[in-house]
Amino acid sequence: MKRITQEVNDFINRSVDSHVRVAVTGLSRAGKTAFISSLVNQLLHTSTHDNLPLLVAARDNRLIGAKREPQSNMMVPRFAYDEAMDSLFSEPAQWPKPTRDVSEIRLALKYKPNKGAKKLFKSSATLHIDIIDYPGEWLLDLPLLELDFFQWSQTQFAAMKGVRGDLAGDWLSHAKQLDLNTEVDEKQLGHLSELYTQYLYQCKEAGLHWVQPGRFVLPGELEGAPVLQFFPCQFDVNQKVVKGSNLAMLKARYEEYQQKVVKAFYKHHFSTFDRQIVLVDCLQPLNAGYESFHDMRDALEQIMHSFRYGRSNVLKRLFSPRIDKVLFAATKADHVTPEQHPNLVSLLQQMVHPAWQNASYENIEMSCMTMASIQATKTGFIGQGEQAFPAIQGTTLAGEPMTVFPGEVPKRLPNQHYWLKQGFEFTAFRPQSAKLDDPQPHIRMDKALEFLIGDKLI
Amino acid sequence: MSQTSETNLKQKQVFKEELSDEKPPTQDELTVQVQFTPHDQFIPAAVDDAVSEQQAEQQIEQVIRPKSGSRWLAAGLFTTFTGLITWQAIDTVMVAWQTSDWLALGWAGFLATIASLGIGAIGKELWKLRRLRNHFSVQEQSETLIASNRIGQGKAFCESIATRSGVVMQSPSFERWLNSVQPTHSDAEVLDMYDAMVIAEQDKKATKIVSQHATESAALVAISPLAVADMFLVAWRNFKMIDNLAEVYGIELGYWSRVNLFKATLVNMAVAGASELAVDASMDLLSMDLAGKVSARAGQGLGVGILTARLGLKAMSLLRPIPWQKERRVQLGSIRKQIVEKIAAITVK
Repeated sequence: MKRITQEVNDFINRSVDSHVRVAVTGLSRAGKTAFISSLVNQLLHTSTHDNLPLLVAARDNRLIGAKREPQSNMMVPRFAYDEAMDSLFSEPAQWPKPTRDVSEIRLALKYKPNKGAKKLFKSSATLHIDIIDYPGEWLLDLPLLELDFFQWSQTQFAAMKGVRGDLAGDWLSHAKQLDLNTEVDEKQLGHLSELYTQYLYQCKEAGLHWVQPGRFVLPGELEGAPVLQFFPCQFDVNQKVVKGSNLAMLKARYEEYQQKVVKAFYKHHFSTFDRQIVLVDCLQPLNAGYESFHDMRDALEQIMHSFRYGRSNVLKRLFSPRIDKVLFAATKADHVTPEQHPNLVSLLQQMVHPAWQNASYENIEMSCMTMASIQATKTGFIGQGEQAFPAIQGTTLAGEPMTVFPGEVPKRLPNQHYWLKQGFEFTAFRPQSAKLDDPQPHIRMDKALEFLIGDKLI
Repeated sequence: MSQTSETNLKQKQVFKEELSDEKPPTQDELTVQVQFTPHDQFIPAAVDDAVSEQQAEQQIEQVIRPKSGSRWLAAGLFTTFTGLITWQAIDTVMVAWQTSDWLALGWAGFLATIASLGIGAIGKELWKLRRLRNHFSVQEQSETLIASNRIGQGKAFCESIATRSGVVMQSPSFERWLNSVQPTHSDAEVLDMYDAMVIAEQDKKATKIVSQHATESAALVAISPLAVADMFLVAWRNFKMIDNLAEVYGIELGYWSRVNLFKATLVNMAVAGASELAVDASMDLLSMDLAGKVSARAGQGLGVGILTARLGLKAMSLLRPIPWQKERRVQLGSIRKQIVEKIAAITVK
């Protein structure tokens, strides 16, 4: 009964446009958890602090306050906000732990409407915001829904060139010995899957992002289950699959993975979004190299195919929600000096260019910006006579205080030779130790919020 | 991308010195730009940049400002005139002195005193005219700042605007803005916040003035029995309104600058976008029709009131240091409502 009441409430809220589901998208280590923690943190502090000057509703003092609400989906764990805050407030401050499972959080935002029917009837209105956190690795599985085993195998083999080709060598030589048409050999399949998983891990370590299937590297509760024991293989698509053979088994497992794991994940969490923010860490691929940048670019493009975009209206919002606003954000803007932000935006535009083209066909609103969910450094200048150097100051992950000009961000991606000569070296910082009861320092979190939910707060 | 531009990318550099919050004041804005120009030259402009700039331009309202034409001719004529006058004056005084014509000398002294007063007045006028022109160039500067995506100049620019337009530095709105600005904000964001926090306060006062004057002139026309008197009254009220508005935005007006401003306001009204006019006019007609049923005079009053309001709003957009952001513009609709209420209160028995 309680559940039905909840659903009816949600339905009503959606029909009067006071419910918004925000998709926080990003590959692993892009800063999803930090973004969500910061978002919740900033909004919870709006009643007492003037911390979001670029969010119009907050600037005009129309935001009354925010609170966390029990979420609608009881089967999903709650987003570990308190734990994230604990690690940020610990001494020394730590980044929140990377996500290993799906979690959800719901916020209620009370505000004074300033126009329309809501103003006529009520002095205050409430906006409900649903946010879902999940491991970025799993997101990479979504494109699998459209591929059958043969197609998927082909894309995997096609990708094995360059760095990947080197890493895959060991697995390839073992995989060649497997006869696909003989009786199922569980042990051999298990061994080869393990080798394949290792190859995926190595790809991740080399700074590559296009790692499929994502559950192999982050299995969650599926650890060791046979559904995770398959790998791509080369075979003739027209050839008849022998019943009970290795190939038949691999194919069955792939399909099971596709249907039970990926589809379930997609259906439960990904089919009903209104707004999307795509977090991109542009600095990590610069550190890693040319291939890493293009790998991330391809991965982002693939992911964007899995979302539904289009203009929204009342009926669509209720029965077939789609994303009508997408924000591409270059995270970790605090790791470079402020005058590099325009360059970072330009680089981000290059990074998301294929994804942008894909989504822009649907005539939706899109934007690019730089931001830092939680600002880890202080910006300033090092005075050296007439020439003042811009610099940032923070504590490195190793715990050493550092004042540094991290180097220039290129406007466009330099060609491959650049990395052979000098390359980039952006240092990672740990969060600043914040005062209790104060909101976390941020860069342009308010502008991102204005873009994502600003139009729902009028 | 050429090889040379890549090698120009600056490398990581670790410092041992203390970090200072503020840039040292010596040529602060200049150094940043000088460092980057050689690098910028090599990079082909991204297509997306152009798009975003276009959008930024569409976001802010276009204002037509009086252009300062070539003043070489005027200046030449003026110098010749002053030269001749001085020559003539010296000549007259010399002759009078030599011929001991004390009466002529007395007259010359008297005229010179009057002339110097006049010159003083003209100088003051010119000075104020210059100030107004300066204001328009500030407006243009802010437009370019909003359109460019740079960092580091917004704060200094807004502070100069604040001193220029007489914003009290200790006022809560200015302090709030000062506290909100972070070194990581881009110029456009800093200006946006200044617009929404500090200028919004001035806007509130200005809107009050506009609606007050609009209702007043509407009421004047609605109750005055003599049509000619109406016209003078309304003209006088409108001049007074623009005066008050200029005061709110901290711009001193002299006679000529006032006329100049009034002219610019009229020009802006004349070329207001067709769609804007169409919407406004239809609404105006509707409300006039409504009041017209009460009495023809009230209808006239309403029309004049709305005209005054529109004049006031256009003057506001000329007087603001930063052009309007579309979503923050004061709409005619809100003022119209007040006028209708006032007129209804006067005429409906």
